[in-house]
Amino acid sequence: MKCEELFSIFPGLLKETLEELALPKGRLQEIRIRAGRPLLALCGNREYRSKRVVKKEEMKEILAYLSNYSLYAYEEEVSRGFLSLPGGHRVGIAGRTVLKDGRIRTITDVSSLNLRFAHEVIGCADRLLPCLRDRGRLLPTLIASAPGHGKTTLLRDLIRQISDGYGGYPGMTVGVVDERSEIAGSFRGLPGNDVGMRTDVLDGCPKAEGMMMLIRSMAPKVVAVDEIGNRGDLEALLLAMNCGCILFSTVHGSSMEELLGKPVLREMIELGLFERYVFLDGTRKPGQIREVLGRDGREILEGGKRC
Amino acid sequence: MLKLLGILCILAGSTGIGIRMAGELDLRVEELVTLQQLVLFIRGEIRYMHQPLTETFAHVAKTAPAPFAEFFFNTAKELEQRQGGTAGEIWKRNQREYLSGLHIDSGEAREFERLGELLGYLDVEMQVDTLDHYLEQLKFSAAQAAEAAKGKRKLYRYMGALSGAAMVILIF
Repeated sequence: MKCEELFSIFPGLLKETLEELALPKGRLQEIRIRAGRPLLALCGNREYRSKRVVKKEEMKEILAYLSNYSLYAYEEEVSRGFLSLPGGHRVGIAGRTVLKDGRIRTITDVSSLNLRFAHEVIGCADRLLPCLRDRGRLLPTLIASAPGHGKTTLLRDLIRQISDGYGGYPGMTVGVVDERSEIAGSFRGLPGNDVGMRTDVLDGCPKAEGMMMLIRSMAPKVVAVDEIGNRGDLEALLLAMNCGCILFSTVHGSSMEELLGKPVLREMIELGLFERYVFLDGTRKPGQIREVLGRDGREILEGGKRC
Repeated sequence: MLKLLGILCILAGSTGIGIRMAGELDLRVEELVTLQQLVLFIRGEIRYMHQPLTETFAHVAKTAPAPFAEFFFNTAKELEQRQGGTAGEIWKRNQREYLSGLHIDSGEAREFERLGELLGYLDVEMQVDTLDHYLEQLKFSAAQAAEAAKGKRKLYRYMGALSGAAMVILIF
């Protein structure tokens, strides 16, 4: 679902406010809605502000609309602070949390919503793919960047090309654990984005459990997950690696030093889980590759040129 | 001969009215029992499948008898189209359009309308609690209706025939 199509599921008041803003046709990145504040839209790295202030009671209506009047059906997602929309778009939610046994049960009195639009960029991994093979062997890869710099977009295109086959390499079975429905953009179980013909998607499933399930049930050659970082992920990734799967993942972080500063990631790097580290610099253009490093920290060049 | 035909017509008509009134008591019970079955189905879809209302109602519409099938089908369609209004408003509008001919009393119709206002929000537990509460009310209403029907069924039938006989005596 394209952003413009997504507008059709917005309530009237949001549609009117967005029309008022007269956003240029192009890359709409996010819309931030805060109770008692004007609506802010980020489009082509430029911020647009509405004259109209969003009322507190309108927040509930917007959320009800976005969840198709069935907020309870997204209970698990809401308790984790977001809501998945068709096409891999996502709504971040902030408000008053309700706890049960020390665990967040739900969010009420919603005060802020952040609509983040997913962008499928077919072919954005073309330049990177030659750097991810060594003598024809596909290498486990970690993509790192700051939020919103295009990690997931790049991972999605990598999955698609590895699954379908590219540059004379045959396609491989890919298992995707899409915890937040951002990679495949699944809606009611069907991927909204092109993730390749040999890809199996486990949607809305916690990464650690999902990886185990996929390995047991679908026997993928490549396992792809988004935004790793905790100890459970490390254990599941280790197990996947021991099963002979090639790992592809993303993580928040802008440099190798930053990654090494996080204990779990440091352990992953020291264990040699990944053989390629791709760092993005999306300040000018999302998905822009800054550098590709090998396991030893040396920059990988393709034909003497940067990837 | 004409007199006899008139007497027969009056007696048949009044007895028929009595039987119909007794039948309507049974229809109310039947509708309340059907509602219980449909709400149980909705409860299962929400509790175990976490299905959104649009899908739940579309599934209910496939198995429900008329006019409930039309009600759930159109409510699901309107919710899916998101053309404005809250879920409660859409539910209420369709209730008036498709379920106004039901035999349930006004209090029971109001409770059904209220259920529409409460669906959709909060978490699964709250939804299930809401549906359980409504089911309890339905059970109570159905038991009351059955009890009332048992007592009144014979009365309406006899009253129909007797009022016919009274009219015959008065007229002829």
